Amino acid sequence: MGRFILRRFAMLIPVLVGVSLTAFLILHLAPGDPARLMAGVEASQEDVDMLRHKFGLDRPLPVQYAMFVKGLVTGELMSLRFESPAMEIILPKLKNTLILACASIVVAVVLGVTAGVLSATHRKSWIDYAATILSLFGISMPVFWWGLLLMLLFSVKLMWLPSGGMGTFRHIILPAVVLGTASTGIIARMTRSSMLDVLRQDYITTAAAKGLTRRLVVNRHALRNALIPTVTVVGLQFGQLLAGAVLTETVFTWPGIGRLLVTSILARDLPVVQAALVIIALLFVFVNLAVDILYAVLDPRIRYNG
Amino acid sequence: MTPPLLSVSNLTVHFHTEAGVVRALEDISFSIAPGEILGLVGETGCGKSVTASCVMRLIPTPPGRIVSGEILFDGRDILSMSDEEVRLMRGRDMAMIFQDPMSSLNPVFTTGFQVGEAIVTHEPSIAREPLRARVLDLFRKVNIADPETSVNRYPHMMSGGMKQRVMIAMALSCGPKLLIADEPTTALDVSIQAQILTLIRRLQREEGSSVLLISHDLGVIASMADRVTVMYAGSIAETARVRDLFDDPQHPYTRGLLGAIPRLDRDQGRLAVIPGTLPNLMNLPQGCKFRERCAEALPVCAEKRPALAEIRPGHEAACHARTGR
Amino acid sequence: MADRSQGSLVARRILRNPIAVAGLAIILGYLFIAAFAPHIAPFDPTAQDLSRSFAPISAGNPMGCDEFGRDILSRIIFGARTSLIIQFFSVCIALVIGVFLGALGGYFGGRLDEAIMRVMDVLLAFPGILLALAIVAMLGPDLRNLIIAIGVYSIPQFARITRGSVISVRQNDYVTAARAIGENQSSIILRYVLPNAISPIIIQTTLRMATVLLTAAGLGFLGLGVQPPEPEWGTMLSNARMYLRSAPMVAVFPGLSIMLVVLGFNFFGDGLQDALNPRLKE
Ligand SMILES: Nc1ncnc2c1ncn2[C@@H]1O[C@H](COP(=O)(O)OP(=O)(O)O)[C@@H](O)[C@H]1O
Ligand SMILES: [Mg+2]
Repeated sequence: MGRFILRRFAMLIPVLVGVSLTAFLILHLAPGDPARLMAGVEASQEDVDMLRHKFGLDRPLPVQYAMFVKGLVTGELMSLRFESPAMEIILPKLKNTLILACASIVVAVVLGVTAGVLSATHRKSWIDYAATILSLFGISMPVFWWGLLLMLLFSVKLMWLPSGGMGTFRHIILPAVVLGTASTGIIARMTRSSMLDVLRQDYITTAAAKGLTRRLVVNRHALRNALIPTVTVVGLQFGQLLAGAVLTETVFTWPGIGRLLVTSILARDLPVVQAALVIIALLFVFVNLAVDILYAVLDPRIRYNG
Repeated sequence: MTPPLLSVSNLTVHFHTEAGVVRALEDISFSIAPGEILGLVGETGCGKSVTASCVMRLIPTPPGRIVSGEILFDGRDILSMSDEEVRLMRGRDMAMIFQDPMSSLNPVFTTGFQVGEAIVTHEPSIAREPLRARVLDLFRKVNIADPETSVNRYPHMMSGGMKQRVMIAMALSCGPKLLIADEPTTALDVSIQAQILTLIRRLQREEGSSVLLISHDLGVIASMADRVTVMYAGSIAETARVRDLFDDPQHPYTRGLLGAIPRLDRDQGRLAVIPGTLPNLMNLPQGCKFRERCAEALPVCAEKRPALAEIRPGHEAACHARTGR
Repeated sequence: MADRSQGSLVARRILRNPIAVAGLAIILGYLFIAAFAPHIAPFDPTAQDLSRSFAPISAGNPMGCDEFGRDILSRIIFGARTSLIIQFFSVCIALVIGVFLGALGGYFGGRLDEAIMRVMDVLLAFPGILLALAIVAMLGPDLRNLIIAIGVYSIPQFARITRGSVISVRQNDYVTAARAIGENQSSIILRYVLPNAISPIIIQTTLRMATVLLTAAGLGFLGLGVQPPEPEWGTMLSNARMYLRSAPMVAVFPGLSIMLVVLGFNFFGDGLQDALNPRLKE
């Protein structure tokens, strides 16, 4: 088990290098002059040159990359907009996004797994069809539009819930539901298909032949196996939630990293954009690592052979 | 004569699939006496497993449908019981061993847990320690090496033969009156097969239970069973005591099967092969299902499906050429 | 190998699945509207008439008018065209590059495979819309850059799926046989390996059409997609959002269009998955 985890960590290193390199390159290979982009069209040539020198943009690319990584690690990477370190701006926003994402994943897992299990155990019944269609609707819903609709109904018309911002529990309900909708659908579909797969297995017949109740056969023998692939999906969905937060936070003016990313892109605050991209990617990669480990805990075949 | 422990009469089962209706069983009848081993033989796909699942009422419906018939176990009709009554019977009064031990155990639970679960289901009040003792006892009984560690092992850490022993331990855990063994050795190495069969035989003697032993191997049946039922394409071709069947087979299909077994005590030039193929269960011919492959077919065979009839006491066959009609 | 009778079996399975049929109908309707937009649309989608700003729903403007008095129905109809262009070209880019990389890695294995997959891992480390967002942020928002960004971010999915099925097909006897008689590598890949890996690729293509549209519209909503006055559903929503309280209907139709089309592809893709994967059927 220990070796298994160590190996996974070792495999992360090239990905981490790749991630920082990509974030760096994406914004440095842009056509045009990055210093000019930062300074804006109205700035004078002297101002642009000064900026170029100040941010080391006149140095060779490898040196710039080294400076970028150093800035990330030491937290010295400066925001262009706010005259403060990028990390100091990002981390509080990241916390807000994590609160939102965690609330969403709870909604999505509870609803999705329940719907998927019911769908599989009531195959071809109206429950199955309803769950299937609702899941596909959930997956197909444009987050931003769904958010606007719910906001129109619950905030503007009924005035039950606030239309934006962060603070009380009531503030998080709409964004969490909106953000979790697609993941609910995906988790439900995944759980359904892995559950159907498991219910066909011989060991399910064995369990029934022992005289176990249908309930125990499903909840103990089938679900435990069916959740193994679902766990992976939940990990991937966590990434989708971090990304979806870009849109949800914009709709509900939730002060998270997604909204920060968009405003920084629009303001051409490149260091913040880069740092935010790297932070989100890192988080996602580590969540997937955690999922791999959880996967091994759930599946003894991996636990004892890895 | 004592009443049979299990008696299946006129059982007909269909499967409704995307491609059509599969007539898996047609008018099946047989019985098993207390303490008896009945062998059920036939080629792959002839309906042996479906028969076994019906007895445990484990046929998935849909796609399966029990069209007609009666299954009496200990005098009670299994097909008209409530789900709860059937459930309480499974594992306690009748238990099953499956063909493939590799896939029959749940990969995420220890073998000890899975055997213990069968006991707890039927004796919910049993305490931890006695339960553990019972499981260890069962592991010893089926000759699993080092029971103390084996109970804590996951299935993937065991060999196929050991897993099948775990399955047997599980099946025996509540002392069932009927043990159904569906090709219990087919998936195992030849060297392990004999060990498992000997084990089943020994435990059957010790416990005095009845066994429905399914196999497509007449050799296995010959060495284990008291009586044999031969199935062909969802119907019963012949039922007889083992000696009678081997000494004087009645149905041409049985003769074909026996001809296909190499025997040392008789001079045989080469193995007999039955010409032709199995009929399609979705599109069965009129008359006898074996007619197209039968050397002794009569005109009547093309019109009427032969019914099982007694040729002599304890020996039944479904063949127009034998019953003279 | 997918022969004719299997093709008709798959078609029959799809036609018997009401969800898949609904999806197919939506897709066909969408293609029709996109193809014949100039003939169907009652007005020029970019023609402004400030006197009709936020005109309500009427016989002349069945979906009303937007802030500049442009006919929303006409903008929705031409928006279908924009969406289809984005979907088609970005999925094509991803399909060609992704399948090529996946087949290469899966078939040859070793260092090459390792390198390709690590690059894909890096791309996949930026979840969902983020990679596309970053690329658009770099290249600047317009239709071409949007297509590139969305295309690039879809590459890893195709590469992974192709690689997975190529690896499982590669071990088949007929591939080994073809290798043994010394057939040349690229013809083995094209003739034996890819045709057998085709089902998951088809499914992925269909489902990707849905994802890609959501992403494009999302970028439009953030103001990083196709720029006005070009009619694009996400961008339309982004503008409508500013008038949500006074003219909520303006926000309804673009979102509904996105949802319907995405739903169409997801419905159809779901049915396709069932039809091509008979394991799930009894
Ligand atoms: N769940 C099912 N759905 C459809 N057909 C089935 C199902 N189970 C069994 N059958 C059909 O019933 C027939 C008998 O199968 P089975 O009893 O498993 O044969 P065997 O004698 O090899 O055990 C086969 O033709 C099989 O296709
Ligand atoms: Mg069988």
